[in-house]
Order: sequence, then C-alpha cells, then structure tokens
Amino acid sequence: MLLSIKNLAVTYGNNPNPTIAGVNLDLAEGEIVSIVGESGSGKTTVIRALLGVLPNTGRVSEGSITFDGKDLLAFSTKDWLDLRGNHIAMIFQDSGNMMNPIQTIGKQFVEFIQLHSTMSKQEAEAKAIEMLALTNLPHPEAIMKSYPFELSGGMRQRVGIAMAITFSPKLLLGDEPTSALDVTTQAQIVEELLRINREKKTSMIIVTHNIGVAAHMSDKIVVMKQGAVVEYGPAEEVIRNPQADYTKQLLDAVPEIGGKRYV
Amino acid sequence: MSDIIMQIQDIVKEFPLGDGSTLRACNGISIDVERGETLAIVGESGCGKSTLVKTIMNMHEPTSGSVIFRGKDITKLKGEEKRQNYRHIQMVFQDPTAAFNPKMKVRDIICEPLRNFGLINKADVDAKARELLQMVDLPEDFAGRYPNNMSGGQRQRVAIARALALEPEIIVCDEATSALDVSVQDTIIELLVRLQKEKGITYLFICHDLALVHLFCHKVVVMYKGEVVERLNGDALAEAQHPYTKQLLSAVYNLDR
Repeated sequence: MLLSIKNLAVTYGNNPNPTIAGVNLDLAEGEIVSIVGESGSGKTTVIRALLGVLPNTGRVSEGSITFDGKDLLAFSTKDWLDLRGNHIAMIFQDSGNMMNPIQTIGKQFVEFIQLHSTMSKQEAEAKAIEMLALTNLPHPEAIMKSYPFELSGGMRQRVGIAMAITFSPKLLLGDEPTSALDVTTQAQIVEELLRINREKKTSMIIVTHNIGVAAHMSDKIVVMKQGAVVEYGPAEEVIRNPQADYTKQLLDAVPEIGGKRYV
Repeated sequence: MSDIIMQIQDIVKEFPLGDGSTLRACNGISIDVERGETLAIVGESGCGKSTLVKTIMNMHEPTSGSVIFRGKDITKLKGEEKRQNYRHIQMVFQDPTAAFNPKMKVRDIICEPLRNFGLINKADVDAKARELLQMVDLPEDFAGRYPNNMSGGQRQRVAIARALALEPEIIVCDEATSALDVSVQDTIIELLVRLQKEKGITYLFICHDLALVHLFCHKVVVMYKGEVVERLNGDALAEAQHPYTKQLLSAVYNLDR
C-alpha cells in the first residue's frame, strides 16, 4: 500500500468534537480514489491532513497516516518540506489564485523547481518548459512569459498540474481540480489527469462534488457526510449498488441527459 | 399555442479594443422567448451569453438590434420608462454571497426592490418578507437574520425571494446553481419549477451544463463565439447536430447506473 489512513480524526481548536472522525482509506500505487460529499462534509480536511497543512488550530487528534512506509504524523517540519512537492503534490480548485499575480508564470515555476532541487536557473527553465509542453499547453515559451491573468482558467489549471507533477510525485491530491471550469474544459483536464495516471502510475486522491467526474475517474469512491465516511468501496459498486441512504440521495440528485425531468 | 413574451432580434454588441479594432461579442442573435417556459442559453465562458443577458437586462445598449418586451423595444428606453421596465425582469446571480449587502437583514434585502419602487410602507416590510420567505420554503424567522448566517442554498433561496418581490414576468438566472452542491442544486431547481407552475414565470437560464438543462428547461439555445449555433427542445438534446453541441454533450459524465 502506498498510503494507509487509519481511523483518522481532525480537531480544530478547543472544540471537543472532531471535525472529521473515523476515516479509513487505503491507496495502492497507480490507484485513483475520489472523495465526494457536500460542502462542509470534511473532504478537504482529509487531504489537508495528508499534506500537513491543516489551517490555524487544526490538528490530527487520533489515528495514523502511513505513506510509503513512513509515519507522517511523526514528521518534523523539515521532513514535511521534503515530502511536499516532491512526493505528494496538490492541485487546487483555481491554480491561478494560488499564483502571484504580479510575477510571470516562468519566474514562479523556476522558483518552485529551484526550491525543490539543485538545478541551475537554465536547467530549471528548460524543465519548466518541458513540463508545460507535457500538459499539452501550446507555446510553452510564451506561457513562461505570461502573467496568470493572461491565461484562461483551463490553461492556468494545466500550469498548476504541470507544477504539481514536475518531480513525479507518487501521490497527487486534487481539491476540486475541475470545479471552476466549463464542462468542455473540465473534460480535457479530467482526460489529462487520467493520462498522467496511466503513463506515470501516479496515484491520486480527487476531492470533488461532481459525482459524474468521480465515477469516470476513480477506482474507489469515498462518500463523506458531516465529517464521517458513510460509504467506501469500488467506484462501480458505489454507483450501481449504493448502500447508504445518503449515497442514494446524492446519486439521485445528479442531473443526467436522458434522466428524469421536472417539466 | 405559442405566446411570445420577448423577442430578441438580431442583437449585435461590439466592444472597442485598445488598438482601435472592435470585439464582436454578440453577432446577430435572435431568440423568441415563450411565456411561462424556461429557455436555457448554453455555452462556454466567452461565448457572449453574459453580454446578451446584459442587453436584455438593459445594463448596456446593443450596437444594433432590438429586444421587444411588453410591446416596446426596451433597448431604446430612457429615464423613468427604463427604470419602470426593470420591475418586470429580475435576476438571480451565481454567487448569492456576493449578491447581498452583508450588513442588511434578510427582510430588508428581500423588500429592497419594493422600497425602490415605492410599493411598500416601512411598517409592512416584515410581513411581506415573511410571506416571500414562505414562498421559497424558508422559515419566516429568517427575516431577522443576516445573510452570512445561512448556507449557500438558503442564501440562493433568499435571492429568489428578492427576485419574486416585484412579481416579475421574467427571471434571468445567471449560473444560479453552479456554486451549489448537487443535492442543494436539485432542491433549488424543484423550487424554481414549482414557482413557474404557480405563477407562470418565464425563466432565462444561463448555464453550461447540458445535464442540468435537460432536467427542467423547455427550450435550449446553444451559443458559440457570439452566435446561436443550435436550437433544441429540452427533451431532445440527443438530437443535436452541431459539432459544438455534441462536444458539450460528450463533456457530461453520466453515471451509467
């Protein structure tokens, strides 16, 4: 197992009740797991805990996280810095928001690469261009010179993916990676992620509220509600034969072409 | 029987670019909107749908073309006549958080349109707000709350209540459910459909998700690069011919249950 989460609970501040509790998850190499559920269900908290970036007063209050044979909860700050970006990387909902608006893509990409490696500036530039090309961005040299606001949402998301996969992480975390995009762009990004998964055997945990995307991408699906896992199993099983009432309710709410109509 | 409530005729809207050239955001759009139905305007960002909506809402003048509503070309209205026209077309926005003044209580938010048109006394505001809250299935005591004390779905219901206050003939929903979770989206759509049946409201629903459109729209207009490329019935999306519509259809991830 690449990743094993056992009985994870996360607590914020002095709140005696954990925000998420009893979360179990196993991920093998090359596997994709989706976490679905409505806002406030704790999906993002799970993957933030994995990266050691719980906000403010958040802390893991119970359970264990084992990644690649190592106990993440025993990590020092230096260990975390080495882990992030190199072995586990994250793609955000709007990668453009995560960039400095007054620096070019190239400057930020080179800084990111040099922070995580011993490459020279020239080597880092070449690497960045190579990664941009790899995510099917046209004219990578021109993109290096662009500012985030000059790119469309889909292009920015590809830049975010290019940065995330630069050091071939074993695990890629996506926090609603396609939710801010048009449906057609969403489809392209989903295919892009699946291609990376096929070619590089990168494991992924995708947090999404789009159950259609989850069903299309994943091997396994986790359904969360109010901080607890209500269903966890192979994607096909969860979609075709849901056990929890909440999963059924969620599935029934998904609009489908050829499905129910209100008029 | 077809009863056309609004005729959008050959709308062209150009924006000047810095270098002296112009950008044509809408290139001759004509749409007939039928009374009491839901018309979806579908297309990706940048296709000109928001420019078209702003024209219908009378927020800017088109370069050419007309919008016939209540017997008049509303793009030519001026002054008080233009202001009065706003009563009949109301709007629900994508992000209900950004659409409200966070320092106003829900009762004042809901009744602000009525106050603006001098249609309500201050003393009646609370009662009217409660009536409208009931209409959108929210507890009446929400009237005294602030919008940040409620969930996204509840806020969107408040936005719908505000849009209903003036009893408009047309409500324009600009991506009104895309910021919501699927289960919440489903309940909002149910509410919109119920209100339409009760009051005969016409909806213009701006959207890019064809699966959602299929759920409750009568007619669908597909826009691409400033033009209408296809017109379909809501229950016949599968008959789409245009390559762009087909692309939109294939971008929907069905569950194959």
